Amino acid sequence: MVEQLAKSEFYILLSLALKKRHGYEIMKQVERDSNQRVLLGPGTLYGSIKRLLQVGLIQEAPGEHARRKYYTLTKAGRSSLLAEIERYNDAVQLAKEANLLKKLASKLAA
Amino acid sequence: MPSYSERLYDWLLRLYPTSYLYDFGEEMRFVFSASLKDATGPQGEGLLTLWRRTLADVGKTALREQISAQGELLMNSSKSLNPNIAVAVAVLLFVPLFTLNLFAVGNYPGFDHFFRDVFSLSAYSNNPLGSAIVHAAVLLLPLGAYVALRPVFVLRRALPLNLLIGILLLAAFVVFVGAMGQEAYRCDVLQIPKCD
Repeated sequence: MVEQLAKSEFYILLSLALKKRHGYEIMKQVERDSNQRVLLGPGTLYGSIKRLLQVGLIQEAPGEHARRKYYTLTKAGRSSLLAEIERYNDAVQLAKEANLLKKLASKLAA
Repeated sequence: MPSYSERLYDWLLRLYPTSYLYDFGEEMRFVFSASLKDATGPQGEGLLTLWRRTLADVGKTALREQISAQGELLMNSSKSLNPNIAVAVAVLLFVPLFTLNLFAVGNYPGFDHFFRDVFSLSAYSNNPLGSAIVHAAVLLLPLGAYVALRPVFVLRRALPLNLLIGILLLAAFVVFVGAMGQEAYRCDVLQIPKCD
């Protein structure tokens, strides 16, 4: 289990949650999933992929295009992604229960 | 035929370590080419925006990957040097050096004058055993330099971090031994009173 996922790594895992993808597909999916907030260049994308491969959260998989490298989640990757999503979910629940969104917004406006 | 942008990106890829390019170079080229098509397409962000992002990306990640590759090389080189042999050599060298230094510290007062005065190591200056250990450790610096420089000779590549560490260790060795020798010469041969 990886101790802390970087934002780009989290979105890469998220993009691979449902299907295997190659680098360019991952990049475009991350842009869509993050509403254009996370824009990965080739260096950042493959630096993150390298780290995720090293820690065993993703692995290479055969794909439709023989010349492209496809990546898919490993069991550890799925478990890490699930844990991260649950952590975000808990934080959102807490924010809703404490009505944090309204309170923070009003403090910002003041 | 690759466009100017693709050729320029190919050139920029040289900033990444060779091992990294071996694993991901072709993929990075493909991703850049696809991004280039998107950027210059009807609803694209434009060439300037693409290049602004790309340069920032290369600047940030090439340096990070170079540091990471140097670290991995250093780790692998220290692994490739059989630790049992390294420890055996260090112990074998340390024993005669330590004995020699213990003898020198006991018989030539000026020998440890350098550490006593320059570093004000008062606790150690009254302790011939500690003095001998420090001197012997200094004399082992070339072994450290050998470990650092070994991959440079094995791989026949200029590895900046290894070269830097190796040269620093050798320089420290020359400075320490030279200074110790000079102090011993001044105090024991020239009999300068300050050394007493």
